[in-house]
Amino acid sequence: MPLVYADTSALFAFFHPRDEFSQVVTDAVLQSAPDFVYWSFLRYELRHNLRQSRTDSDGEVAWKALRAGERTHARLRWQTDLRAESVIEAADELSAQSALASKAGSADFLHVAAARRLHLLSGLDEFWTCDAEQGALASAAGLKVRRFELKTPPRASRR
Amino acid sequence: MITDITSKTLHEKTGQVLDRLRRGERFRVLRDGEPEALMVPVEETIDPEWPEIMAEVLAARKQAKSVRENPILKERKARNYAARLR
Repeated sequence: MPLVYADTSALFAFFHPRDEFSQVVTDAVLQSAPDFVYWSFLRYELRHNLRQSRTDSDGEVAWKALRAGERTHARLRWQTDLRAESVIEAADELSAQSALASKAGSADFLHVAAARRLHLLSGLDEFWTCDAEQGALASAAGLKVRRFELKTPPRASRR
Repeated sequence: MITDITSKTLHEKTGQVLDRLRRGERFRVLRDGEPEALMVPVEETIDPEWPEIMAEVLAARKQAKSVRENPILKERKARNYAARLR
């Protein structure tokens, strides 16, 4: 199984059936069957957004699937090497190098710093995101990036 | 939590590793630094694959009549005011 760092935009899209990127991310998962990197900040950001989406049956389905994924050891693979304080330090270093050259936000730098650390420590197959700025930052940091784009404009309502 | 061990350690300390497995510990076996296998206590089930975990999500997606903007991208765009100042 390839080990993939999917940022929160990609993981949210994977779990939520009505997300605009849901189909393209799911197609990628079914094609390559990855295990995903999981650590404290990613977990917090993903849980927070999925909790806020629990306003209808789709949100409940997404939450239930996340919890099932978290009960596995491999599908969402907890990374003991990624401790929040040290990743924040690494993100700060990355910011010092790249902040002016990138339009990515502070959380983007955290994800890329975490992925880069894993890549250097034990190898990482790909970095997945739906965010163009983050994808560019990850690519500049030496990661192999898969950025998801919408194939067609979203149907009907966007809220 | 999964403990990484090398194939060399597994070969040399098989009895100790089996004892630790019996106590509930899980291992990922590395060969040449790459993960090759998982070892779990016999009473544990093997992790399901994504299609099994996501069955209800996949079914819900087929029923979905509309899509929603990705909230993480939306939040990042809203918060990232510094980049807009350039």
